Amino acid sequence: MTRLRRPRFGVLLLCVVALVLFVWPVAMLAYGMLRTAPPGEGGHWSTADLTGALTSWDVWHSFINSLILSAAVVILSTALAVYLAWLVTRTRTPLRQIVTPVAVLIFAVPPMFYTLSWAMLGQQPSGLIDKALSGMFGVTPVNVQSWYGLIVVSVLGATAAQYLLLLGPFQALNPALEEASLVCGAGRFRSFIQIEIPALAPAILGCMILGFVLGMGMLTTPLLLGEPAGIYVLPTEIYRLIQGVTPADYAGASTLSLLLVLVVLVLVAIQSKVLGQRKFVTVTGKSSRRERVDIGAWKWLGTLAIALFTVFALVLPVGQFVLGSFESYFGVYNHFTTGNYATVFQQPGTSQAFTTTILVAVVSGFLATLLGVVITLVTQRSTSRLRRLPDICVWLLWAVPGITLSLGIIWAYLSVPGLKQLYGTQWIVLLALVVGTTPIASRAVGGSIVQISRELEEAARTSGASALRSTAGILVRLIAPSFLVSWLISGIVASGNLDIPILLASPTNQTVPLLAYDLYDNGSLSQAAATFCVFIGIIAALLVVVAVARLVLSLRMRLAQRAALVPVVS
Amino acid sequence: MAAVEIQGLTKSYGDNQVLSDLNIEIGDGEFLTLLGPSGCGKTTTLRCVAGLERADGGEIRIGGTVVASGASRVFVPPNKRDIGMVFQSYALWPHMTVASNVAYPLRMRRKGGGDVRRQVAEILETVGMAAFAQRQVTDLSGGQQQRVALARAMVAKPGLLLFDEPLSNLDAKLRRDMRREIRAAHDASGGASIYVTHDQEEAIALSDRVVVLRGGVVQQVGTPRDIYEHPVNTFVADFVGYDNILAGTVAGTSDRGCAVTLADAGDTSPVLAANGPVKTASAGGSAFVAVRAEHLAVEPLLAGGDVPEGTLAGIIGSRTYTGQHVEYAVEVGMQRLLVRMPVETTAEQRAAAGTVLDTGEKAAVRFNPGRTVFIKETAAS
Repeated sequence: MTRLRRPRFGVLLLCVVALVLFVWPVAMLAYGMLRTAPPGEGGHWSTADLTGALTSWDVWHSFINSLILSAAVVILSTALAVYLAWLVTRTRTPLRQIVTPVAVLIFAVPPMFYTLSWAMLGQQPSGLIDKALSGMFGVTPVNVQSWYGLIVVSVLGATAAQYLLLLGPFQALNPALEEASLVCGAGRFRSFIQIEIPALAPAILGCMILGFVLGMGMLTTPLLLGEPAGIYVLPTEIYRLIQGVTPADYAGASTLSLLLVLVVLVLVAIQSKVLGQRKFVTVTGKSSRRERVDIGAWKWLGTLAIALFTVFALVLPVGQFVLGSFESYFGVYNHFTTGNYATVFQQPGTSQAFTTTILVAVVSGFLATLLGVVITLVTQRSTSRLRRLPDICVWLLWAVPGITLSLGIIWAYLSVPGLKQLYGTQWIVLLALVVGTTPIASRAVGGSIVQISRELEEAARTSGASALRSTAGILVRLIAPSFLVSWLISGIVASGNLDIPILLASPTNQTVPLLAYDLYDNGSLSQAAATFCVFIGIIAALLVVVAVARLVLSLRMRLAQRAALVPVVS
Repeated sequence: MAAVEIQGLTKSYGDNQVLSDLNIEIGDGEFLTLLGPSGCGKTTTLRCVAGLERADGGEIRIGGTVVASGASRVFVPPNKRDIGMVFQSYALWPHMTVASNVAYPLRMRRKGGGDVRRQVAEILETVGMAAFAQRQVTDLSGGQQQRVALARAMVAKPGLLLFDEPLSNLDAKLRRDMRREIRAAHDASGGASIYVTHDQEEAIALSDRVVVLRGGVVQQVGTPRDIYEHPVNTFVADFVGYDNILAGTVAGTSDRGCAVTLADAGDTSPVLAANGPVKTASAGGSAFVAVRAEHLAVEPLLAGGDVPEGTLAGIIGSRTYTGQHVEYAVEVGMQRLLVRMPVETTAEQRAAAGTVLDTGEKAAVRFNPGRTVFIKETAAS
């Protein structure tokens, strides 16, 4: 009987860990909302800051701005993403093959890099766009630090994500639905509007709500493009209350954070209710060849859309970035220098930032993936009544935007006596990044674990392997490839994160995105660009190494197989 | 000494009682099949024998050794039970070659390298997979994967082989081939086998003995012939393919069998059933008769003519040509009987058989008392 109890103890332990890591910081926001002093500094209970925040015009103004920004971004990016997904999956539009790689590239680039390059691109009077337009027409109409800039840049990034999410459902939609409609006498276009779009409505709606949720929590783009123009959204207002006013208003920031979490939770609840009623019954796993439509001259409009999207979402930002990093002073286009790179490597803070970033990215990616594996295994295989709890805790985190999580973590750990020294160290940044990236890691690694049939381990047990041996020799070995992929993804996501280090890191242990933001904030745009180019270069080099290693491994395996085929087992 | 003894096995998942007091004994060298619909507890029983699941109560002995007992709290883990198992999904490890998959049980038993190579080669030869030893298992077809899984289960020569619906993912022809190979493998191993399936044809073709399970309760234990020809209740009859299971009342018994008046069959004479526990029938009691469609025959019935003895009068409801047979659905009162007649292939045979019956014509359905099973049962519980 002891054998039965031991796993239950393990599940219980995991539940406690999950609650501490994922739920406690959120709960502590409520505590912080009612305290008069900053985290870890005593104070007493008061609702003054709470009521103060809720009656402040600034707060409600930023709330309304958040709603407007999210709504505008979601509507525009979803429409564009649906159009692109349709062009790619249903038509013979030229250039359709490049959409997915472009979207993957945009998606892979940290939002910090993306926004920074656009901030440079659309700056008056130094950016490439501005230079080109004023050169050609003598007018300077573009300023990206504005509502329009904020929306356009957000839409370009969000479209890539929405497109990647919608591609699967578009490809998996049973072609028989469209064929049935055609046989009934409807045309292609009519079938698309009346049959396919409604059939895909749950998927599209799901993407829209997810996009809205992410839009509400977005910090980087509004911070770089909105704040200089006096546009505040909830996340930047939270940041301002802590870093922009003296003394810092932690209680007010906590109130806003909880407000944000509540709004997002309501949205998630709506999503699960809407999706709960309409199941994805039409989407089958059966792949069948689908006739592509020739949409005639309209296809050139599609090609134009794809080309414009590629130029604005990828070519221009990257070009500006690389170009900008070689400018002696940003906006000076006739004197190129490698001086920025020299400066980057000479400054003592820089190498520190790179070391810190690599350390926290590697370790937090590993730990987040490990947590994801353990939680998925428990959810899948435990028979305990509590087995779903850790997974639910992780899911809750999707509703907690980065800046909110950082604040919650400050409250959660600095309020504990003895842990106060953690503040400003790389360890608390590391911890927060583990918590923040676990949802992503858990999704990245979970799918492949679910596919590993339990019978594979049972076959090892009935073959005479002990429990430990079948876990190590079969389960661990089979999880390993997706573990490594998830580690890589989580590490890259963590390394590009700005929301967490911006509140938790101190000047002595900045991460690269934070360093780049500080350089940008001080007007050293070219140096910011150079820093980030090095950073992206490291990630790209890492990806190349991984790709080469995979290639070599699979080649070696194939060679070994061929060699082994010659002497048949004696 | 029995190879496996299962005594008083109980198991439930939450409120769902899967097994209640199950008792089965498997003899040395016996091939026993657990047959039943999904959810009948057959797979749970097998997994309890393998040690992949723990029963709530009861005792399991393999080769006389207690491997699981609720009373004395003994539980021997699966790797210490000396068994081999073939899984429904084959469960071959995708990161290993065919040879290393098959070698795994030997390595777990700490056999030396030379022995391992020799035994792996031998067993792969037996299942006809020697040429594939160094292939990745993911390159193999379903049938080939099943052969490798069989080789892996047998390679360490365990005293007990367990099969969990191993053929359900294969197509019909391959299934028949593999059926023969599994039986040959069992005969060669000399040990006992337990085989789980929901396919009655498979169970009957493979086994020495069949246990029919339903809701965790044994319905019937017997040789394939017993189960096929003498089902003891309507559940077993239905499960092993009796097309006509008809409710009625016992009219009387005689030396020739038991006469059952069918319910809802209009004004017809009783049907004579000579198969089954006819001696226990008492007049007036409710009962069932079960007949396979091929053991009934239709004859033309002239308008106004008498109904011949041993037949029931009815009307042809439909006629279906199926290639080997012609199937008639005959309406007898409110009952509908299915009759399967061989196809007369030549004109002479057709002439000899008389007329071809058409939908709407009157016909007599002839019963063969020896092939008509009497089932003493009030209702399907």
